[in-house]
Amino acid sequence: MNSKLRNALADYNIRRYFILLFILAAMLIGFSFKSPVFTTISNFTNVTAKFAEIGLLSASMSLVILTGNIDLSVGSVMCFSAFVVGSLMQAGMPIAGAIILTLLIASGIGAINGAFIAYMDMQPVIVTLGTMTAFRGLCYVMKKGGPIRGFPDESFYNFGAGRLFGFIPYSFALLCLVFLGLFVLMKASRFGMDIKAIGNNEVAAAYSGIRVRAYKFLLFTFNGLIAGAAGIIILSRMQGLEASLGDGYEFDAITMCLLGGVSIQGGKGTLLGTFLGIIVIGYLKSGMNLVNISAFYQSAILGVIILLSVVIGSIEKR
Amino acid sequence: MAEYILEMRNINKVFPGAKVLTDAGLAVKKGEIMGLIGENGAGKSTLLKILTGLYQKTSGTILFKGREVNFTSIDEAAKNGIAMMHQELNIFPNLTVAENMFLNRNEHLNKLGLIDRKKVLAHAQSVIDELEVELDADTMGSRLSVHEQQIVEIAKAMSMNAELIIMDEPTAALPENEVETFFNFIRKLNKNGITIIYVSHKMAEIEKICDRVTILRNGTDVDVVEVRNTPINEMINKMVGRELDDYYVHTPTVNKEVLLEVENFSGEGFENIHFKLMKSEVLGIYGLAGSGTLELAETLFGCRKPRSGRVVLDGKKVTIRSVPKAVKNKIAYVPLNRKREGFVKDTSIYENISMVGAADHRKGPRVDWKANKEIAQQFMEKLQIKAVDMYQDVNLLSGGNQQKVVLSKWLSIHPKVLIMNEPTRGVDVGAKAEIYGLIDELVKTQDLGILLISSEAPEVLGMTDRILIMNKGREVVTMRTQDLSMDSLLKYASGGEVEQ
Repeated sequence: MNSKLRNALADYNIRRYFILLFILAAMLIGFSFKSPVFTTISNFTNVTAKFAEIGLLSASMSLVILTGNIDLSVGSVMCFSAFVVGSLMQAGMPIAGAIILTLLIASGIGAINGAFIAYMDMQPVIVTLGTMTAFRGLCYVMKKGGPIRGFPDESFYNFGAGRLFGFIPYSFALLCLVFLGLFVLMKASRFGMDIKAIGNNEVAAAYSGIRVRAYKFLLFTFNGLIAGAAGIIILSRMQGLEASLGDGYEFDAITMCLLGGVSIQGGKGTLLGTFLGIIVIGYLKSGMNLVNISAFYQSAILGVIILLSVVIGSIEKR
Repeated sequence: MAEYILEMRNINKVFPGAKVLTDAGLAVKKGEIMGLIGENGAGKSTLLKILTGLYQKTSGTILFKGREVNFTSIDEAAKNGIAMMHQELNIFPNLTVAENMFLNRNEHLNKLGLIDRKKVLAHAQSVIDELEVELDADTMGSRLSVHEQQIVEIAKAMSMNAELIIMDEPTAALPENEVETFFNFIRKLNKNGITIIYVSHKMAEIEKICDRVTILRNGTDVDVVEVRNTPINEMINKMVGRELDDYYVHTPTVNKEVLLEVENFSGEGFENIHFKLMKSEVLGIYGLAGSGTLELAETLFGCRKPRSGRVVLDGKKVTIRSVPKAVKNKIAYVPLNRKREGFVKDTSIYENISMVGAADHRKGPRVDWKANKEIAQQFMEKLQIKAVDMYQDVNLLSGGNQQKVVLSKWLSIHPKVLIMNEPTRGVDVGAKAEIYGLIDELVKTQDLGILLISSEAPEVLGMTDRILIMNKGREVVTMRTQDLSMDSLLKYASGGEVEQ
């Protein structure tokens, strides 16, 4: 039994799950002493609704990082998509049409990133920094026409306010569905092996007949699509938006992936790790709010936890 | 014994778990060019690293100019007159020739302890002028040709008053047409009294430039021969330690069924190539570095796009412009650079073996990973891959075992055409023999043909039915292997006239 446990812990991913579950358990116990609300179901509903959008971003971001790439544009694209879907509805377009058009536009932005990176061999950091800045600018341009608030068809808010079984936010249910779908895709097809191979050695992957460029293009396109979906969901939940919405979400999403054990160099990590990373950061932020820790300290504490988890995770290397 | 500038006697070197050198010796006369040959793993580089202070010997004696020495660093060796020119040149492109030469040397400092650039430049230029070459010491490193970079390396050694220069595969990065210039330069150096140790795998170069040759095998110097009086074959036999015939196993094919036909094939680096590959045949493609063999192989495999030409596989015309297309047509490629192109690091043996054919094994719509693992296990047993289990990281295996993993990956899709580019580079002698045995078994038992690209002359001569010889991107001649000798092979590969 003991040796079985030790063998399991020798695996990078499993050790990472243990660390995250340990942090989660410690938080649940620690914060519940300070605040009885922390472990309640209504708090679960609050936390998950709040972090479902960033969670969605980190789901597809995991895949991008696994191939050794990065996408900084998702926060801006999310905000831009929210503006687009809101403006379309205000212009009188039916909800379904506005959503579909927005998702297409968001995917198109992702495809632009993908085309530059996959087919023109440009650096992902530079390309997505460019789209990040450009679309943030467009958000401020669109805001000049007045704040986006109040839509003709109020059923648009139903998704953001909806609760499955009365306590699971629709957005969190969607997040779980996306993770499950990607998980099955990675296990049942060669998709998972391929993107890890690309992350570990792009050249050898290409020499093995893996369509490296097509994968990169599709993953950035998918990242755009997910950012669009997150934008629609966040508008539906908040029922209005500012041009600064989602500022820094790209870094939050990347943080969740890295905390979940996805290597920034690619090739290493799992979706389950990222999922646990989302839950841990979500609950940590909520807990710190409930016990009135100031935002400045929150940031510092989060930073320490990220560094510690990286240190513990890298001990195996020595 | 004053005529010897360097005497290494009874050098032993033990690494944890492996004895690399056993009573190895190397005696170099002042003013000669001494060749040093041996297979990979024979101990050449270990012996030289001990001489230049990178490694410490376990036991033995080193005499340099009659005095016993024991260098502990390259710097110390250099200060005492022994310089090493590495295979990869260490020229910084963003520094000038003079700066490259005097990097990390606290010479020519002014009163403030800063570098006096004028003095550095003047000193560098005077050394270069002494070598009688046209080169401005103020030129940026990025503007130097490979040959000029080598001159800078040598000038650096000369500026430190080197008396013995070790050259490790100096022509590896050199374009074909600069080799002769480089040799003339070496001869000139040699006339000025510089002693040279010349390490190379290329027997043709050894024959051309060296006076004597020391042959290493399994960590011991087996012989020292005069190049003038010794045929190359004899040197190779001594290096390998057995007759070539029993090292290379090859069963000549009698099959006359054409498997692959390539006509008028042109692309970047090669022009107008024609050949036919029969079923069960091993066709060698031989050429010196830069002759276009790599480009030809990678274009056939779809890594590079062909410019023109016709490829007919199994009687059907095929157009291969991408690797997936090659895989679909069952063309496999064991690449030149194993670490970069061959296997994926931080990834298990079974995943590497499954990397091409994973989706061929399905359970309904799903990839059947269990079947993939079984196949990996079979290949590990069949090819005798030495590893803990199939979950081990390929990065941790020896070169030979890594190569077997790459081979398994391709064999698992049952290729029709197997292209192998330097399949035994960086592989130890034992695994080399196993790979040769495997090649022979494959053509005998499986329905395929092999294109064997190699710059090792004995390898192509020992393992093939016919050889296509290339020079500067063009076909010189295609001949039956039995009609070729080592001499004629090398002569044709360097562009010599074919006599009929």
